[in-house]
Amino acid sequence: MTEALATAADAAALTARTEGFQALSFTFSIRTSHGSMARRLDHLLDSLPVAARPAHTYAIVHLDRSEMPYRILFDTEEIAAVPSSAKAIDYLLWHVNRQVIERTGDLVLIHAGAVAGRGGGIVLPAPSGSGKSTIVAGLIRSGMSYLTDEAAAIDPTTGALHPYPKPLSLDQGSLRALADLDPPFDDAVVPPGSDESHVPAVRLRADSLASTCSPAFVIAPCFSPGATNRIVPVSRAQALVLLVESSFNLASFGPSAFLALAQVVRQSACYRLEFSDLARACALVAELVERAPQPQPQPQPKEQAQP
Amino acid sequence: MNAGKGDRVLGGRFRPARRAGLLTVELDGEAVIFDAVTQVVHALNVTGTLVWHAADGTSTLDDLVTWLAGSYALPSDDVRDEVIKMVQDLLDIALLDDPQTSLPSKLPPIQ
Repeated sequence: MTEALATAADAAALTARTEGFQALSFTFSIRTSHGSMARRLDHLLDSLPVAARPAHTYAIVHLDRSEMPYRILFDTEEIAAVPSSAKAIDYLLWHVNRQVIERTGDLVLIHAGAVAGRGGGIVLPAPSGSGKSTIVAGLIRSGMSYLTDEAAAIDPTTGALHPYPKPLSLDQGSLRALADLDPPFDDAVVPPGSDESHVPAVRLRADSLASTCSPAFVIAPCFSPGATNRIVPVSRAQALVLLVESSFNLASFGPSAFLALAQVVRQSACYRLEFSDLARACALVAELVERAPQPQPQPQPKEQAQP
Repeated sequence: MNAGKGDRVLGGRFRPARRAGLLTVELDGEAVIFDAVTQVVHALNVTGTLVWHAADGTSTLDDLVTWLAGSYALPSDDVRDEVIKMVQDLLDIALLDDPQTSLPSKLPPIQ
């Protein structure tokens, strides 16, 4: 760390501090010399539970006369140098998400969005670019409650779906799709110099945060321009394969995590959602949820944990 | 003689055996098999699931053909090719002990 950075990063110079936040197993707070940035981050992260004693601290430091004036420190280590405050926020939120995935050891994390509706949770597993955040945002606007747009957190013991209500990451395409909804959501823009807008779920719809719930649907979204909007059943076996292959941290658990995911699909109705139009996609999901019977207990599984 | 992948040859007396250390769950008649070491997961269709469950290391390939034919009320010759292909596929994705490379099921004690 250079002397200039060390001076700027001195705690006394970073007078603005956010709340402590808890993102699954990761707790952190943020210090900065910019009161406006601290307030912005407090606003973006407001949906996360408060952490009384955060274990980690980020610092956002501004160095004058530098090509990359915004420096981000994680605890005492410099982790990034970026050209703008918008990029600093982008990077910090990306790093928080990565820490959540690396440090959460008591919940199975699936690369998936998740919302809660009538009858239970909806897990939306899909790789990046498939439209997870967009469909999650659309479903929130249509009345469902928000769990996450990035990492669905499943308790390997109970199968419960825990909330990780990070701000939704919405790019220009997502925001255009949301602006076309009825009523439109046009209350967010991508900041200059950034690739996406970070939108707290409560801006999409007030009182939209979900509590821990039991999964009832696995719906794999697949956005493709011009695609026919349809929702098709998939076998539970296919759904389980998708969940396993979408897991961030299954390897750190024993057999119980695989069996827990099997129980999730066993108690869920499983589908693939192909869509090009967000409004139509949300309507298809809403219809599905509305007409689905309440999940019934499944028969005893045939399971072999071979030595 | 039934040719398999590479040099693998499967005779009617070959005894397919599920590889140890795999986790299996069955969902609506389809098996999902997970290797916790490699983190690789496979889903089998209904016929593959029947073959998988029957691959206990004691039943021969001929036994599997006879049993499956009886299950579907079909002549053995009608199912033989499918059973052999299924067993070959399971060997190809390393879900069964490979007859070319597998060790004896019980090793002598180290002296």
